[in-house]
Amino acid sequence: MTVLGGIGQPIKRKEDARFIRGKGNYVDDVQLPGMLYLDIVRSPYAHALIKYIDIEKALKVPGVLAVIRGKDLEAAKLAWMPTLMSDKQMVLPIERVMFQGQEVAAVVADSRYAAADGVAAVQVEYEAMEPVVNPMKALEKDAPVIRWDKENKTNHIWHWEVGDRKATDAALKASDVTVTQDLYIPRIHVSSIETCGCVAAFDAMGKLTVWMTTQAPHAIRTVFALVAGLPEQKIRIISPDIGGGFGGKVPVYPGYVIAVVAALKTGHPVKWVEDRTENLQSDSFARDYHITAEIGATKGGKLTALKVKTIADHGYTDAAANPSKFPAGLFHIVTGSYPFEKAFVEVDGVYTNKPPGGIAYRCSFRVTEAAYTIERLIDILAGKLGMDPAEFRMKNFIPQQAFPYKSALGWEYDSGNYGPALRKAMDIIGYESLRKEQVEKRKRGELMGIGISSFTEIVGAGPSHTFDILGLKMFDSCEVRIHPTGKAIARFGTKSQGQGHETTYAQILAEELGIPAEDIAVEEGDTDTAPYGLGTYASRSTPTAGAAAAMAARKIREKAKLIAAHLLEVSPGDLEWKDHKFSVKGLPSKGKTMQEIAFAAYTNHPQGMEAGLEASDYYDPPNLTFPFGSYICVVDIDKETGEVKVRRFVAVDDCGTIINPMIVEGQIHGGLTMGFAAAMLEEIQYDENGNIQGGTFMDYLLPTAVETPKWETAKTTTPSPHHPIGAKGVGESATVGAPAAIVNAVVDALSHLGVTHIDIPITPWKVWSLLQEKGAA
Amino acid sequence: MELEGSFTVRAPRDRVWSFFMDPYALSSCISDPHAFEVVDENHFKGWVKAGVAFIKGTFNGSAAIVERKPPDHARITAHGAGMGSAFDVESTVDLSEAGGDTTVRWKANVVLNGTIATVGARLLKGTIDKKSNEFFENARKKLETA
Repeated sequence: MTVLGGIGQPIKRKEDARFIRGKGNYVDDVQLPGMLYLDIVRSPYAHALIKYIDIEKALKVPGVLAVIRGKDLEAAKLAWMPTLMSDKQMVLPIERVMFQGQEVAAVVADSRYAAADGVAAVQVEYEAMEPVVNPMKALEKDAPVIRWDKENKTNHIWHWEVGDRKATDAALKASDVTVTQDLYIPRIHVSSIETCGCVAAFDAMGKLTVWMTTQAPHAIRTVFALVAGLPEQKIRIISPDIGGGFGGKVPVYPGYVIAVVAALKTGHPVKWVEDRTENLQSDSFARDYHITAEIGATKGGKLTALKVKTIADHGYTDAAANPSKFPAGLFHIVTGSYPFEKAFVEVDGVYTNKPPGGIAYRCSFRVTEAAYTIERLIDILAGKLGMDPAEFRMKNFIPQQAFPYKSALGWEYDSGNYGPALRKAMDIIGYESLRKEQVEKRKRGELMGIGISSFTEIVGAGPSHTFDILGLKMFDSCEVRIHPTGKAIARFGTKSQGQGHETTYAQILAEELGIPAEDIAVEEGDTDTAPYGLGTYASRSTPTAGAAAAMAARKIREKAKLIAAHLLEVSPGDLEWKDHKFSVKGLPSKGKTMQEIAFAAYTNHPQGMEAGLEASDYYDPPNLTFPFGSYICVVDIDKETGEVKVRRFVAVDDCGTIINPMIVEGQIHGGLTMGFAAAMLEEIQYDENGNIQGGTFMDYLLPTAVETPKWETAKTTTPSPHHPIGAKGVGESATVGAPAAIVNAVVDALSHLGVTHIDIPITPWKVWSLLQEKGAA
Repeated sequence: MELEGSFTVRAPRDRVWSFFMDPYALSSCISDPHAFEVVDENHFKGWVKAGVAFIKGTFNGSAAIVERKPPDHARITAHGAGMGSAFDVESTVDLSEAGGDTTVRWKANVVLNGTIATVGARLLKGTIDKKSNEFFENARKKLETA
């Protein structure tokens, strides 16, 4: 029997048939006749003047065909390019370098080896300048001004605020209890297993095709057209299989542009693929928020107000990937799962001599920063009030009947039901008995902690009235064509990077059309064939393109109904869509399947009706979606070494309607592991000269199967009221929610020693040092 | 990175001074493969093959004696680049004599940039300590056996 594989079915991922056999087709698998290789000379200095670039020796290296410098790009006005946040960044520099690892020149050769030898032979003479590494120092009066090219001689980029400052200050002043806490959310890197790269080729008619590691191929095509002045029909961006994106493959990196110029200059296809160190030291970073938050409550434990001030270190240019109107992303979801009446948030963007970025590492837009802040503050405040953190949350959650809920900072939460999710997590983990165990252990001098995070996400950007990137509205699209034999092809404006779109989109269409998921081919990523869309990031694929799939299918059903009526010789009004087919009301045996209807659409359609069966939909979501969850983590700490062991971690997620439970579980496992990584391991540091200290996987620690805890997952289901199938998106919830649960657990284990906060990553050294300081080792 | 050290050599100060002002003598104390040429009495340029851990390669560079106060004080700077890295060294050497022996006190401020500072960071201090000790130990031996 054929399985429909509709919504809610844990069918196996269609794409895995190629992935698990090593048959994926990634950028680096693309081989073209006559293809050349590009490698990049990078700056050893974080801040320096370029005195000269000597390319003579490099050009003599056997196999080297060309060396490209900033001044070579200047003629085509390509030495600089715009960033997604309307700042500008260098493709290749002419006068100055702004961060260690910055692209300085590029070598094109007939092999990777020759290109690398060419890079080593390029001689650049620099005059070192004082680097600005610390964003607080960057704001000091006498700090060197980094962006000499800008009219405003300051390292301050922008100030952004939302909420009522005066009323929030007054409410905090009137609060019985307040706490203020500094939090640093360090610079981290998405470290997708596939680094960035592209193959650029011009055909005989001057059409450019770029196979590119991008999460947003359509937007990239438009950016290329606008920046390079190429006609848009002569640009084809193909995003083949992508080995992880997590936000890091949204920006346009200089390497892409240089590869296109190199292909134009040499008349050959040119491949550029970063190595791991290049990826870590120069691709867009995430986080790097220096936060000060103040929270207040009444004596009885009712929350009153929240105030958050943040310094955002953006590196040398604001190249964040945020919607245009939101320079700090959706950080103002920071009121989280709680009904603050007063709140105020301000963020100041600052230039430093570091790589640009500020991309969202699997967290919508700055939502991890927000969730971490509020969930940490809630715990610190509960501690000050002497209340149990679970009880304190339960007492303060936005009540279910308050939805749709308008937050003090302007969001309208579509739906939520926070209490049952936390209760479920508490029941699974045995919260009350864990608290008893903790009391016993403390008596014996053993360190154990329990941490909760009851986060609210905000994803699915977004409604066109508010959301755009470079003016492009953030809708997304689906185009479905049903073949005469009842099979179908569907194309989307998004682009999977491993999320399983080929399966989940097929499942939505299967449910809506009655065609088995395995009979529906899903394609994305080729701008010549797929409909226009803004791409995949911010957990937006299901909320936008997934909705477009349902809407396009429903358009098809409207036409299919007319064909079914024609075939059954009844009036369309006599038909109903039931059990995945059209049947006559009250006569379920008399009906037509979509396969029968599809065949008729090409062979026996009603006179006067167009042949064929297809539809497209550009879906503009009416609102964002607000997934949520409650996570509970239990840790044990080794007093001798400071090592933290996550004993248990229960994740209860609510992402609305679930399309494929197995994929959702996989997404949560991956997200939790990335959240664990941020909490325990990952940080990109710089020395005083601006040298990156996490430039390899020896120094930038990723969790392996050895470090990763065993995850326990569960769900509640609160469908989105405005999404066609009630889905909300889940790709990022776990990365957003996990860090606070882990840190809260560690701090809880040490709270009796007077510890109220530890900045992430929580390394054994930090914990051991604290234990020494508190005399508890 | 600030480094300093001292050692005592069984040789009169004048001889130690001439040794440290002689680029050929100093060159003979560098164990890594290298070559140099004298631009003028205070300026030298050349290359050295060196590295930290697995980051090894050729650094092109120059050195200058920027201050001479015979017979006891000199300031020397050096700059080099290669392998996606760059280094700058500013060092002083001070000599004092007691009972026919000379004590050499040296200080160096080493600024490293690029790959070598990034990838080799954890191994850097150890390598630099080892290299500078090796250099001065070679100098001591040569002065005492000459």
